[in-house]
Formats: sequence, structure tokens, C-alpha cells
Amino acid sequence: MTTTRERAPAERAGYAGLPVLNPPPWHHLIIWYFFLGGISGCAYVIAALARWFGGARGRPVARAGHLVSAAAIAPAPALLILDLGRPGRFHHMLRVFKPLSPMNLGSWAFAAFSAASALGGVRTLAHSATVPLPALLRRAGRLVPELLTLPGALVALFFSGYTGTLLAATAVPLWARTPLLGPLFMASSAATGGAAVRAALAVAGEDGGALELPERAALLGEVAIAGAWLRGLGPVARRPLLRGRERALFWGGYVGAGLALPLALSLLPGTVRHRRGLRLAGAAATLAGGLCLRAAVVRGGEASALDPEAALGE
Amino acid sequence: MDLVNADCILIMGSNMAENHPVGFRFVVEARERGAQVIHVDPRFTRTSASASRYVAIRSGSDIVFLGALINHVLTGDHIFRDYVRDFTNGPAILPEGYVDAEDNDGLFSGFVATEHGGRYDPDEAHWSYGERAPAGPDFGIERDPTMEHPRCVLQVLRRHFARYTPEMVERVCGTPRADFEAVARALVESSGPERTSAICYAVGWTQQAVGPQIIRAAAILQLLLGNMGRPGGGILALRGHASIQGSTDIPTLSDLLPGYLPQPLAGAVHEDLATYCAAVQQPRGVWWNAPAYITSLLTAWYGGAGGDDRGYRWLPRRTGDHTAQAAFADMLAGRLKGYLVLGQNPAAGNTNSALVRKALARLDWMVVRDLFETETASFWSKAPGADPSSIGTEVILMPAAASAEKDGTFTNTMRLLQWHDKAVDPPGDARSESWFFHHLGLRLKELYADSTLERDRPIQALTWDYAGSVPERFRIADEPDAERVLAEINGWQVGEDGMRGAQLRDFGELRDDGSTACGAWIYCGVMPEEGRNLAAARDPSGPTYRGWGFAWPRNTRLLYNRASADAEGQPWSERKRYVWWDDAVGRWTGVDQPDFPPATRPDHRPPPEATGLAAIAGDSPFTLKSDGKGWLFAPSGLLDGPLPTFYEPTEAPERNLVYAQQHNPLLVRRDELPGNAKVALGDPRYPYVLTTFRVTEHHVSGQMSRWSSWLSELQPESWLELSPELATELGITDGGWVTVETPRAAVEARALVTRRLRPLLVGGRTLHQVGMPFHFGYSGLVTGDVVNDLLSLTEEPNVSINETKALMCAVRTGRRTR
Amino acid sequence: MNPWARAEPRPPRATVGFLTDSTLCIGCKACEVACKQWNRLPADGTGWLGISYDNTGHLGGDTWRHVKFLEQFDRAHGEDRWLFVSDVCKHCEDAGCMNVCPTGAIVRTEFGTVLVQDDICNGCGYCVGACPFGVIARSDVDHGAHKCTLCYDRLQIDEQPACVRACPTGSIAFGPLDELAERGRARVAELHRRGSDGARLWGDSDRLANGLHALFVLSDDPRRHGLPESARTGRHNLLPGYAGHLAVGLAWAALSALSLRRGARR
Repeated sequence: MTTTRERAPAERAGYAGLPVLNPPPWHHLIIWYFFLGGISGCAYVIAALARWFGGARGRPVARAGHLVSAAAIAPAPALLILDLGRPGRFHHMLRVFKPLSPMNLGSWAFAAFSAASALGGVRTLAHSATVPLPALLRRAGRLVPELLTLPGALVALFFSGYTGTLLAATAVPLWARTPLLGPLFMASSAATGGAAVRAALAVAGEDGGALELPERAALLGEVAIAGAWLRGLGPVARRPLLRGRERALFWGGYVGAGLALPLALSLLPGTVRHRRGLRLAGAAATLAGGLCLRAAVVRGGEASALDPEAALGE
Repeated sequence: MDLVNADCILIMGSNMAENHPVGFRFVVEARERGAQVIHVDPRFTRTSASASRYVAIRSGSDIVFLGALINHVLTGDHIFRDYVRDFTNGPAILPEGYVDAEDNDGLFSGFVATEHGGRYDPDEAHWSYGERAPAGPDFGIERDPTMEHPRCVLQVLRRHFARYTPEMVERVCGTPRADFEAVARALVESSGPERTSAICYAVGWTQQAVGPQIIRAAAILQLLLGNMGRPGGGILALRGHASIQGSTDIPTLSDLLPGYLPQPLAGAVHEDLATYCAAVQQPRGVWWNAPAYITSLLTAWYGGAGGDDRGYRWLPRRTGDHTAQAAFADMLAGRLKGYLVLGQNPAAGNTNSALVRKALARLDWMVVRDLFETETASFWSKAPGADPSSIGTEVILMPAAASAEKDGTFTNTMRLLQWHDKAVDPPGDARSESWFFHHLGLRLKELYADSTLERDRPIQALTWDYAGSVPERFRIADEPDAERVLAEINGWQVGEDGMRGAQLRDFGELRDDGSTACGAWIYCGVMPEEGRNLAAARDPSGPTYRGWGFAWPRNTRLLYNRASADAEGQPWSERKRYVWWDDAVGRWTGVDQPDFPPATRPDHRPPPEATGLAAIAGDSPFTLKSDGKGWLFAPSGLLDGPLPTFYEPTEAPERNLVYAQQHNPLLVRRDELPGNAKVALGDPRYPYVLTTFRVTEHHVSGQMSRWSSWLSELQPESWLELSPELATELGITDGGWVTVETPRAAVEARALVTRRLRPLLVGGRTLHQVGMPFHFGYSGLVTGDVVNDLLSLTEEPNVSINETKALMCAVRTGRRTR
Repeated sequence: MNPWARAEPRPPRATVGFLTDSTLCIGCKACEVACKQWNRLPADGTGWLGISYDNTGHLGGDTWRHVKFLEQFDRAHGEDRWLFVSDVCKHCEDAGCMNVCPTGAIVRTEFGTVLVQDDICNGCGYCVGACPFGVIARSDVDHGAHKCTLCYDRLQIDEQPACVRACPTGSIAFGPLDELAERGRARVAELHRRGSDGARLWGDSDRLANGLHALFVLSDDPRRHGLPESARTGRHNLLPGYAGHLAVGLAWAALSALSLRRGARR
């Protein structure tokens, strides 16, 4: 141990009430990566689907999607590299191809996806008349093939939710007691990705109505999956979310602002909810909720690892 | 190692698992073979955890417990009768003038009260039973083989220990009667011809005001049960730290010369070599050859330069008390000006260490040799309250080499010498002790080479040729050859021309005519031929591991092992056969070196004029004693009584419930020293018994262990162990700060509230005991208050040991305020 | 240094492990110190914990042996006792750390042990949360993940691990795993015969990460020692996790496609 621990009475669970597990050393850098990665992945999928199925009306959606995706993925490499204990060796992630390790699969997916997303962003900018771009880049951007988008979208779909399963592949009770974190993160990424694109469209004054249905579905999906997840955890493993500092994040930030509020807003009549202010407010709430979910899960994971009763129960 | 043969092991006054963990493996092995292991201690320690039974006891009440065990054995008639009759002085009849403590309120005949306590006048004591008288087959000792005579030792023992009952144990020791009786039963069941029990003790017994007498009580018990000199029996003195056995063998003690020869006293008694020899020599046994031992020692030191008395006149004489404790008194009085401190740390390790630091401040100069800057080396700057501007002592800190950085031996418990090789050079200027003294000697010789003063002759005359060749891989080229030193300790023949001859093989070869040189007669045999270093032998085969190291004397693993056979020389039982008489070859034989003259028949009864080894009867295994018997009663040797008698420690929670005499009357209290006031009996301000202890993770005052980060992180802070009951009473929380106070000092520590300490019922009242390790000081990677500041400085009358195991203190919650 | 370089795989040797018999342990911590000394690990905590004599608290990146102290006094059944158990990496058959390590730094050696190749590890910390026993951790000093190597370097020269050599009572035994398992079972049987009903062998079961290479003879419920009765690595969550994630993702994508097309047609 590197810190002096507080005294624990011998009557507590486990050995002298001390933790059984070691807490994973991940903090805010990873929380932001999860959040931005999910947005980026789903924004990219939205962009692809908009281009394939959205027709002329879908074009601004596709543009917004690619730009949001590229913008969201841009800080990601720095976040990941800085989070490493030995950042100079980040390239070791691609030393092997190891499906057993979600982080390894995710590293490959990240490499592929971040390239696709960046290229998608550049190409979008290249075809745009309004956005200034260096001439060389504009020419290069136009050369990026369309074909990239399908594999890009598939990888993006994986990329959007793999981090949940990454957490579930550990021994931390809050994360690993059920396999549902992967589906939950996927649904949350869908919601936040959609919200981010809709916010961009609202800022640009474009129509984002087609994204309302999938976003509502994603939110409802989250409600179902999160509920199943909480139940599957059991009273001991879910403790970090019911007590302590994560309680506010999870119930206030995620469930309240991130689920209830956007769902409530979606019930408002179209004329009301299509006002720019409410569009932005709704998107912001969803986004805040997504961040709060990941923060609560990651930070709650630390508390979960430190709880001997959770680790020893079965 | 012999402990594996024990059927029962009593560990008392010792925390063996924690402080002798490597030796403790043999206790664990014994336990796995079915032996009972009993741990009697004020605290439940890691030793208790491995024992079959733990018994709680009040610190300082050991003699009551042991006395009650003796009483149990005597009244239940559990003595090993044949053994006691034949091998002990149980049958010896005491003179008529003898008065026992039983009849005299805890004092023996011959007591003379003095200003500071008292002493025993040998002429009035009547303890001696005439062992020097030459007439008759028993050397003038009257004996009753039936051991029924009212003045025979066994009967005197019966009367003396009659008041040491289980009830007394319960009242004085706080030990529940059932626990005590279980111990008594276990020892009795595990002794006799077919079974043996061993006792292990350490500093828990020695560092008390009655330390030697506690050990005597154990010796009496083991003799009555017939366990001495038998496999799996005996008493194992677990020494306080590495090679401290060696430091009494080749002594760093002020009153001994190598091999337990006394350092000569000033005055008529040791005036010259002849009177010295006459005083030291004993008519029977190995001490008959004392003249050969002292002469060979002087020959080793001075060669032929000593003249007629071989240099005896040059030996320093004792004029008083030169022991470590007395030295501090001398410093305070301005009588001692210079001090060399070698691998010792009295500023934190000695009792009343604050007083020690004051004493050190009175010196003109002090040399400290150690691996690190210890509390002693930095007393003038780092000690709490130290004001360097007011301290005139010049301190010279010289770095020392650690044991892997030098050649040499360890002599540990079991009298075992083990050689260790130098593996690496010490860093920088650090040097070994051998290097330091070798070169100091060379420089002194050079300094005084041209002197014509008689007092400088000894330095000129010293033979000082320890230089040898150093392997090329080592940087320090002027390191003396430690094997040469060991060779000299072993001894060699000296030719007519004074040239060195062959190595000696046995101390029986020593002569008093200058034809032999020997640095320590007890070690003779460790290097029987040049280049053959038995201390370095590492053959682990055989039941007694005789091929591993060298156990003095003569590589005898078990002392007095002739007692493992009966008077006729036959083993007491097949199961416990060890050494026996082989009539076919006319020699003693067995699995160990027989600790007996090899060809002395069991039925040999020496004529009255016999001397030396020839004067040892065939049925007398205890050859170091003048009558060859195990002394249940000690007619001489101990100043404060021939039989162990319970006195309370200097600071006690109770008046002595056994006798009217409260304390050891011969204890040197040193009340005159400043800051050495004692707690008076019944002082309500200091209601708890404090004991100090050690743990595995640190070593003595921490002068080596608290400089190792790996050890420091195991136990980073000092602590007080106390029971939950006391903690509740005082509002102390586990892990919080507490302050412990005595009239000498106040120290703070962490509270470790644990059920391993429990309140005892002593004298009808609840008594709380608390304990603190003394490992901490102000110098090191981790630091803490010096616990020895709490203790007072006293000297046990026989060996001047200090008292660390039982004192009274106050405890309160919170940090130290002063 | 070329992280893509591959060495020749070494020929397999007998699968080895530890048998730590807490009934022989005297709590001396020689194993902790010998391990630190041999592996040149830094001291990593000079804080007072005061959990009995345990100031170490936990295994970690720089502490690979940890002696636990359990004071059990005034118990409802049985005598007062003080239990000592030296905890160590279990070198699991199904090793959570090895499963999740993304760089392939953690490998199974020819001795069947689990080893972190320090020159590959980039300190991602994934293994830390993946160990169901809280063994491996990231060092604050060099930021890599570290744990007991079962003295891989000593095994290669046919030497025993440092902790085994240092243990004065032979509480820590080392050797072929199947022999140790048999010894452990025999020891537990012997302890039962002597009246220690609570003695048990822990680590032998498939329910513990498919079987451990560090077996323990314990005197009490493993949970009191901070050891679970059963442990699974997270790999069993992979397939259902990915499947669920894919299902949700595809469903949402399909719904999005439909919605976008509807929007296009309006």
C-alpha cells in the first residue's frame, strides 16, 4: 500500500475490514475518455446512417455527425496516453492481438476508429464550402473513399460500448457482478451521441427531428438495462451507488438529469420541444447524464473494490 | 537443536518465536512430533500463538511460579529419585548453623544489614557444606543417601519451598490455579527415565533484580525432575543477541578474562600469579588446571616477554565495580573521562537512558564505532533537550563493518561457534572490529616503542602478529587475518625457542610452564590443525549435527551429558539414550562427545588426594562443580542466597506476600544518582505494571533495524500494548496516542489495544499490566521516544544486570506534554 | 528496445507453486523482507496501521508477501489464538491479470507461473482491477504493474524462491504443485486428527480461478483472512457482454436508420 489506511476494527468483514481487492487506478482521464469515446462512436454511426438512409435532409445530419465525432475523438489519444503509468510505451498496446483482453481489442478498435473518424471529419470539411481548410488538406480530404464508412461504422459500434465490457471483465463487484455494463454503456453512448449531434444541429439551426426517436429509444433502453443491472448487482455490490458520493452523481446526475429530464422533455408537444433553447437544454441534460453515469460507475468501482464484503460475497 | 527431542518445552522469561525465530524452528518441530509447548508470559505473544498452552503471569513474580512447581514436585513425590540421589547434592547435609529464609522472614543466616541494604557474611552464613575438606571419599561432605536427614539438602528444599503453593501462585502471580496445575502436571508427566522436558529462558528472566536466582529455580526444578544433561532436557539460555555468548566467553565484561577466568582483583587475594592460581584453582574437575589456563593465556598475549610470572603483573586489576552501570555513575561523578562504545547504544538501550545521556555529557571524549549514527553517537545533538553548546564531550564516530563485510565467528546460544566469511568490502572508511583493534595496537606499540617506563612494558611486550594475506578481490589490503586470531584462541604448542608449533587439540594439553599458548581454553579444539577451522564446518548430518560448527567445550553439544546414563553408566532408557559407558572398550561413548573424562569408570571413586579430572567420581556428571554434583542448594557462587527466594521487583504493585522481606536486600539501588528516583510501594500515581519487550521486526534499541527501510516499514512507530479493559477505563482508543509516565520520564506512543494482555487478579485486586517495545529512539529512518528513559538504573548484586521487566507506571490518553 | 521481438518459447517444466501452512507460521515476516531484498523492492509504506502487528496491510506493486495477523480471543468455541498467514500471489490457472493485460506483458512461464514482463508493461493498470484476490498493483515508484514472480530468476538456476529459503519453520513450502496439494491434504487430515476441526486446505478448488498455484492450510474460514470462498475472473462476462452490447447497438442503429429514412421521405 502506498498510503496509510485508516484503522479498521477487527469486527468488520473480511480481514480486519481491509479491502480484498486493489482498486483500479483510473480516475477522471478515463471517465472523459469513456464519455467522449461513446459520443464519437455513435456520432459516426449516425453520420453513416444519415448518409445512407437520410437522403437530402440527412446531409446536414451526416455533416454534424462527422464533425462531432472527430471533435470528440480528438482529445482521446492524449487522455489514454496520459493515463498510462508509462506513457512512452503506449504503442505496446498494439504489440499483440488478444481478443481475451477488451482493452487490447479496444486499442485496435480505437486505432482503426479514430483514423476513420478523423478522416471522416476531414472529408466532411473538405466538401464544405463554408469551413476554411488548408488547400492541401482539402484535396486530400476529397480523396478519402466512401467505402471507409461501412467498416468505420461497424468498428464505431463496437467502440461505443466496449468500455462497459472492459469494466465487466475485471473483478470489481460493481462492474463484474453482471455482464450488463457493456449493453448499458452502448445504450448510453447512443443517447449521448445522438444528443451531441442534435445539439450541433440546433446550434447550426438545422433540423434534428429524425434523431428524436432513436434517442428516446436509447434512453428507455437505458432505463431497462440500468434497472436490470442494479437488480443483478444485489444489495451489497450496488452499495457504492446508494451511499456515498456517487449517490448524487448516479441518481441526481444520471437518472435525474440524464434520463428522467430528457424523457420528460420528449413528452412535450413538438412545437415546444423544438424550440432551440429546449433542444439544447435537452441535449445538455442527456450529455450531463452520460458523463455522470460513467463518473459514478468508475468512481463507484473504486469504492466497490475497497469493500471487502462485496468482494467476499457471492 | 536438541529441543526436538523434548517431550515438553517450557518457555518462560522468553519470547522465543519473536526473538529467536530461527532457533524456534526446533520448538515447532518438537511440537509437531507431539511435544507439549508451554509459554508462561505476561503477554500473549507470537510464541504463545505457537504453544500448546499459554499461561498468564505477573511480570516479576517468576520465582513464586517456579518455586510452586518445585513444591509440587517435592510434595507429590515426583522427583526422579535415583537421579537426585546419585547426581545432585540432594543428599548433602548442611551445617548446623544454617538458617533458611523460611525461618527468617525471607533472609538466610549470615545476613548483615548495611546502609544500602545488606550483605551475607560468608563466615556466618553456614551455607557451605565443607567441600574443600580433603578427608573421606566424599571430600568431607556428609551425605544421606536416603535423603531423609532433616538437614540434608532435599529436606531443606522441602521446607524452603513449602509456602510456594498453587494458592500463592494465584495470589502473587495472578495465574489461575488450574493453569498453574496444568503446567505442573505437564512437566511431571514429561520427565523421568522415559521422557524429558526442557526449559527455555531469555532476557525476561535475566533482566530482573533476582535474575540469577530465577534461573537457579529452573535449575533446581530440572535437577529434581532429572532433566539436566539429557536429550530433550536441560535449560537453554537464549542469549540477548548475536554472539553475546561469545562476548562472555572471550569477554567484554569487566570482571572476566577469556574462559571465565576472573579478572584479577587488586590487593592480596590476587597479588601475584601464585596467589591468583591458588584462589581460582579448584581441587577437582577442570578448574584444577586453572594455572595452565591463565599461564597459556598470558603466553598467548605476551609470548616469552612476560618473564617469571609470564606477564601476570601487567594485567589490569579490579578496584571496585567497573560494570557498565557503574561506569555511568563514574561519569556523572567526573571519575571517568573517556569511553569507547563499540556496537552498543546505551543512550537508548540502557535503563534510565536519559541519565546515561547526562553521563555521556560529562565525558571528555567518546569514540563510537557503529554502522550508523546511533542515539549514542548523536546524544549531544539529536536527543530531546540536547544543547550542544553546553556539552563538552568530543564524540568521534567511526564507521564499522557489518557481519557480511568481515571474517569472524558468532558464538550463540548452545555455545556454538559458527564462522562467517567476508563477502564484500564495507563501504568507504568503514572497518571491522579486528581491523580497528589490530591497527590501534600497532599504533600504540609504535607510540610506546621507545618508552622506558615499566607501565608501558605490557604494550611493548604484546605479541601482535595478526597480519595476513588478503584476497585480491578485496579493497582493504591491511585487514588482519581473523583465522590467525582464531588459531591463537585455539592455542598452539610453543617450542623451546619460543616459536609457534602445532595447534592444540584439547584443553587437556594446556600446561602452566609456558609451553602452550591459548587465547581461551574453553575454545581449545576449534582449530585442531592449522587450516582446519571447525567453526566453518557445515555438515548437517547426524542426530546432533556434530559436523556443524564447534560447540565448546570439545564440540560437546549437550553439557553434562554423562547424566543421561545412570550411576552404572547405562542409559536411563532406550528412548533417551545419549551417552553411556562401553565396558568392552573402557570408554564413554554415545551420539555426542561425552562431557566426562573419557576413561573414568562409572564405579570410580577417587582417593581423597586425587586432583583434577582424576578426582571426578564415575557418578558425578557435573564436572564444573567441585563435588561433581548438580547443585540443588548452592553453597557458594551467589551472593544473595543459596536458594531462590521470592522478592518483589524494585517497583512493585504489592507488598511481598511470601515473606516480610520486600526486596532483594543486596540490590544496588543507585538512589544517589540524579533522576533515578523509584516508585514507592503503594504510590497510587503509578498503578500499572510496565514490562518492556522486543519484537522480531526490530533489534534492541533499533540502531541497526531502524535504518533499514524494509524493517522500518514493518513496525514504523512505537506502541503501548494494553488490555481493552484498561483502555476503556482510561478512555484510550486503539491507534490513538498515549503517554506513559514514571518518576524518570514521560514517553508517548501509539495505543495497541489487544486482548493479548489481560487484567490479572493479584493480591485480591485487579492489576493491569502494559508493555512497550524498547526499539525506538531519535536517530533513524523511523523514530520514537526512548522507552528506556522510563526505567530506573539498578544493579543486580551478582552480575550487575539491570531491571527492565517489571516497574510501575502511569498511563493516560493523549500526547506527551513535556 | 523492440517490443515486437519474440523469444523462443521455453520447454515446459514441472508446474510448481507454494504451499503456505499457516499452522507452522510464527508471524516473523522474514518472507516479506527476503522478498523485498531479493527483488530489490522499495519500502512502500512507513505508516502505522496497527492492525495487530500488521503494518503492511495489503499486497501491492512493491509488496509481494504480506503476513496477516488475526487475534481471536474470547471465542465462543475454542481456545484463544493468534493466527498468522503469509499472503502471496496465487498464480491462478485462470489468471485475471493475464487475461486482461492488453500488451501481452503478463505471460504464463514454463513453470506454470504467471509473470509480468516489466520491459513490456506500460502501466495501464487494467490488471489491478482484474485480480479477484487484490494481488497485483501499480508501483508508485516506477508506475508499472508488479507482483510476485515466484522468483522466476531463482527457478531458472534451480533455486527455491527467496521467501521459502528465509522461512525459519518451513511454513512456506515450494515444489511441484500436485505434490504440494497432496501434502496439504495430508496435513489437514493430520490436523483434524489432532483436534483442529477448523483446519482446511484453500486454493485447491476449481471454484477459485480454476485452481491456484498457491495453496494454504488455514485454521479458519478463508473469508476471515480476506480470501474469498470462490472467485471467478471477469472473462465469463465477455461473451454475454459483447452480445448484449451488439444487440443494443444494432437495434439502435436499425431504429436510427428507419427514423432517418422516414425523415428523408417527409
